[in-house]
Amino acid sequence: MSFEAVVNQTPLADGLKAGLQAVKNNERSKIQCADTRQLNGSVDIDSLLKKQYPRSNRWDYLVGYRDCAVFIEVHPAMTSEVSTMLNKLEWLHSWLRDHAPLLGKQGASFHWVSTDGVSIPKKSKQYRQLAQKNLLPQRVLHLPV
Amino acid sequence: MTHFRVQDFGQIQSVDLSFGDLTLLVGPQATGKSVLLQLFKLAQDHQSICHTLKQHGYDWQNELTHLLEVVFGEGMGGLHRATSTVALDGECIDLKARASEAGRRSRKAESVFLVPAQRVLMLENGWPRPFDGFQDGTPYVLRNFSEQLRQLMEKGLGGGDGLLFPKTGRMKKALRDQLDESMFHGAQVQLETINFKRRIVIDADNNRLPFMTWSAGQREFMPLLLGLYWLMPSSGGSKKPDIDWVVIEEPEMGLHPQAILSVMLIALELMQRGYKVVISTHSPMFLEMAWVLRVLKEHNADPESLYALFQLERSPAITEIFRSVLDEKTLTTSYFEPQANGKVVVQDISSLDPFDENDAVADWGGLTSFSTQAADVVAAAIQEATVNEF
Repeated sequence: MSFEAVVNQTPLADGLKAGLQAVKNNERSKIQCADTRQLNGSVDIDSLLKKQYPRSNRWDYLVGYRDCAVFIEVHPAMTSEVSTMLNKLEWLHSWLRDHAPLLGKQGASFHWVSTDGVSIPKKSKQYRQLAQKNLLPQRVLHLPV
Repeated sequence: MTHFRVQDFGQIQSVDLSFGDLTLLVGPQATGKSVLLQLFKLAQDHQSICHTLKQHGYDWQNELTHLLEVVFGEGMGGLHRATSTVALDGECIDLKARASEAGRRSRKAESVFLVPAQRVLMLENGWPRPFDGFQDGTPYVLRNFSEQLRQLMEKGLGGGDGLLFPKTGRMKKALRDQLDESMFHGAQVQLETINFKRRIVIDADNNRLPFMTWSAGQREFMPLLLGLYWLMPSSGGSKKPDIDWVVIEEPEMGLHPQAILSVMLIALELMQRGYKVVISTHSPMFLEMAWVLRVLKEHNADPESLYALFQLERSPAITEIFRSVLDEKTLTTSYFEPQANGKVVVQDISSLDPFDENDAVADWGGLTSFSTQAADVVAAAIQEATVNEF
């Protein structure tokens, strides 16, 4: 099933925009595409679900690339933010299970892109926590992942 | 799994250690890791140890205190107290009784091969010292290790060409190549005879370098290499039939991480050969390996994924080692934790889970707590700077 068709079956349908238009201007450079023609659209999950989940650790974006669901959070990458990121990931997984299970099955992957640099030492327990959740931060996300 | 339970022995207050196929021991200096490992050897091999000591003229007059002085070294006779207990796989070991009966029974071969932390002291002018070449009061494990390697050398290790490294027929080629890259950089380890006396030299670009010119890491590693040759027979099976346990104290001493990687691979090969390997370490690298292996085992990962970790070319022999470790072997890690009263208790931290609420588990017995702390300090400073900016 196409990315668009799957998104249209979820509560994110209203937020689906072409290309990377749902991604804030100042964050768009954090997502590099090998072939922009393969982009299937994007959703600003955070803005779309803010009213519904005002106090939750909401995730930033969903991007479709080659019909795969790529979930992206642009966030400062420092050790003090690791627990917040893990909460965000847990919230997203839970939300997907409850409201958009098809999206979770759409070759989904989850990525932390740093707002600025990355200051999480590789020998720290926080780094290992992220490794165990496959959520190591990147400076720029290159698509396809 | 073998269990070793010790109460009130030396600085150790309480230990209930579960040994896996690979067992890692971590903890600060002087927390009893080495004492426990020597005690483990004494518990397993007391007949052979006492026999060897008697052969060399020692007489402890059936007194445990005296025996401990001879085995653990000078000043260590008070390790055992009236309240001390030692049990191996649930069976209590009466050390006092063993001290008095030792030597009367027929000799049983040693089952624990222990590579001691002081191994650099065993080479004198490039040749292993004999048992009696050490001062009285030197721990038995060092004297015994040196004597075993001396005998190995006298039996003709090196063959006709005198080549000790790289040497075919012992360890697997991929491991040999990696050792060469990380430790010897194309140089050869050879036996030569000078003034009618044999010695080990490193031949680098036709310069024959004697013991005192070796790098610190090479001096540390050479006894370990000879020990590995002892454990990896060139013919007649993959392991020494009597030896079940290989204990290596602080194998990382003096080594660059690339060389530590080689040592870790060798530990895996020893496991595949059927040895149970016990390593005491201050290097987070061994725990990183154990953590990776645990996570890969949990997720039934493809053994091939370990090639990236060890930076090796693919080969069927290495794949078989990786498969064996992931499918068949158990791993445990224990933390020797000093208490306020100066005593030590031992925690099982085998999960190495970074999410564990117990920092001893999440920060691997303190081995990574500095990195974690450093990151927290940096994060707090950045946070403060950001707040001030606005």
